[in-house]
Amino acid sequence: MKRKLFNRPGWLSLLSAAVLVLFIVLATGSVLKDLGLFEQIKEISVTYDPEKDEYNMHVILSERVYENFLYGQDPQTGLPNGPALITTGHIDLISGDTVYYTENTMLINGQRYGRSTIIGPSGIVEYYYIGGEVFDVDLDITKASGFQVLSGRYPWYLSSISSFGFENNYIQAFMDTLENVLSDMEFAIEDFDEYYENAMENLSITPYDSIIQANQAIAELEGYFRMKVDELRYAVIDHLRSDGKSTWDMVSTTYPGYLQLFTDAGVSGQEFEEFCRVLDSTLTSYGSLDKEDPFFTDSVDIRLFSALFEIYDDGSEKKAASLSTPPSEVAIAAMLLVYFKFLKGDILKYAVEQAYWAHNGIDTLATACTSFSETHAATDFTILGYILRDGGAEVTNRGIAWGTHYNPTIDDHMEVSGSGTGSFEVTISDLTEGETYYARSYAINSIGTAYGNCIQFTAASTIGMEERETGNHNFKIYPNPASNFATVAFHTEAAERLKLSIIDQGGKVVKQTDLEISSLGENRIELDLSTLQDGVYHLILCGDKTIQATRQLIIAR
Amino acid sequence: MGILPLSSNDACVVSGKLNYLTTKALFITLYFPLPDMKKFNIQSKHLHQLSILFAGLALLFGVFVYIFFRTSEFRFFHWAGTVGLEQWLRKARAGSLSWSLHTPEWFIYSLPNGLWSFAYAVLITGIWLKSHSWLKYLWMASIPVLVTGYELLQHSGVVPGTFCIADLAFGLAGLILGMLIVIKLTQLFEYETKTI
Repeated sequence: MKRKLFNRPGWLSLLSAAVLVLFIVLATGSVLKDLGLFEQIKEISVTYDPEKDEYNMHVILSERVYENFLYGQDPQTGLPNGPALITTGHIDLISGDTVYYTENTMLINGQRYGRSTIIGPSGIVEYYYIGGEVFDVDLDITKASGFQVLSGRYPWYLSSISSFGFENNYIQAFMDTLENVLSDMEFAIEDFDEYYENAMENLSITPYDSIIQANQAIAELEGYFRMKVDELRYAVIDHLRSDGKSTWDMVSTTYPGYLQLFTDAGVSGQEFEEFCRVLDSTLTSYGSLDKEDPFFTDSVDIRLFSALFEIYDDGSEKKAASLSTPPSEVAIAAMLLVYFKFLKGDILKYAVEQAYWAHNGIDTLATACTSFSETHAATDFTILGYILRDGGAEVTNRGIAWGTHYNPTIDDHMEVSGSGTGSFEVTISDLTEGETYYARSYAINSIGTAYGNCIQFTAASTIGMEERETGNHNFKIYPNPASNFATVAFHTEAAERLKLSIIDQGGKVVKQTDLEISSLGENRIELDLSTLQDGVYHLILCGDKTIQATRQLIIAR
Repeated sequence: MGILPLSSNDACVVSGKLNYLTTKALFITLYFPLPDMKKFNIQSKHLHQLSILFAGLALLFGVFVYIFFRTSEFRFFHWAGTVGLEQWLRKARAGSLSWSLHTPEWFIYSLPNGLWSFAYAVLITGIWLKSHSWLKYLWMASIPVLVTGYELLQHSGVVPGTFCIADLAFGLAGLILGMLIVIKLTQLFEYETKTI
């Protein structure tokens, strides 16, 4: 009876339906979840604390991994500048606990400079960075693997990938496999990018795909910061902050190197000017922006790219009769330039590339960085240069290129300082008071001339309050010129009430801090200068009734 | 085939014979000699258990190929992650990395399709082969329809996935083999009852 019951077609159909559902579930589960290029990062949010003048960026990289950035921001470029606290957290799937890595570092235009301390489950690790790369790392690049380059020069990037739960030996296995796949391919040097993408595509359908996606998320995040280092973007920010100056005015005077790129590509000055006119007109149509808004530069970014897309979409309709290159073509070229900078955020690829060039005996351009020295005078500036790598060919000439526009070249002004890798100092003297200057390090090898990051400074007026000291405070301020932060140090011999004031050239008190000194000894005060514009100020230490010490303070970013 | 005007018993026998003959004619090139099941002490009551075993093994092996050799962007990896298996899966997959790059493509991309087609064919054939209901033909027809239809729908873009002729070939081989094995096992049952 029971056997007959279960032989009935109804029951058999039910059983068959259950089997069918099982296979439908299997078929559904074997469908790929398609992720686009910009979908690796799940969420980004930024908040601003006006009291501390601090930005807090929270990035969710996956369901279990996040990064939190606490930083000051350069009001001109919108890039992280000054001390930063970077926290990476991931949820351990086995224990369920959240594992943290906390990094204290200094950022200059988004890149790590100086000492960086990482505190994690395995202890404390310190690195010294120049331009986002560990300075003077002991690495034989001709024998090093891509993983060794990544862990030696860019440990911050490696730890970001590790935060996804990958152990270093797993990351190393992946990078070694990637290099093996590349070495099995035969291609010309200029086709490296294409074959690298092919190798990654091959590996993306293997179990390495999860680490590839983790790297894509990290690269995307890094790319967002690198996109911001763009001269057209700076020109638009300058235009929107200025009164009456157009984007074309800014590009032609301050960023002529950017214009030169387009001129070399066959776009005439007149055509680029027309593009700038259309761009400004499109930006104006979006309405005005509050220049004091802490998210001003972020708003500019969104509007700029919206405007570029809009100009591109308009096609050739806005082409003037006498111009052969319409604004839409200039717009797409401008977007491509930014996109290429975005792609530079893939430091893992960069490390593999460096190892590849070295193993194959291919010389490349040197790598240079620029920063300020701590010493200065009003119209004399000492610039520090770093030649991090020679690119495989001897650096025969190095120094500082400087001028009155962004990204100066050796065709403008240059101060030579020897040859080879390492650090060096150059003093630029007798500058014109009140003029804004730009400088960047350069290194020449047999491949060509490499340039470092560009820094900006203003030669101050020498007319003003003399530096003097009436008390015995041994009053010092460093660094000077300063950027967004400075330290004031002074000695006190008794408990006293002091006042620290910053006065601009017009005599206006722009910042004041009351100090309650409770005992004798050395005192250090951290000054937040991020709200002050570039220029020359006077720092005054006052007692109850008398000025104890004065110093000249230069803010230059 | 139609329903012959015979008694229900005779109809079962006739339709059963017709099914057998049709199937044998269809798969004549795949004929293989029946082993002597008495040697292995396999009896008719083991028929269903054997079917489930074959299907289960095929299903599991196909799943293992996905786990160890395929990208983790398939949905069931996300399902596994929601129940906390992601870390274990990742550790397991790390162990297969050394041989995944040297495994033939058909093993990774086409074999699972064939195995699941085999499993489906085994289960459905095992359920319906001895039934005399008209529903039997509907369900038996679902085997080739689903296996080939899914691939053809991928080709036309209706369902996500990449159409591949190797996938279709493995799918067809799987469903043929699955049906064949169950039919052969059922023949053993009929042989056994006749000899009793």
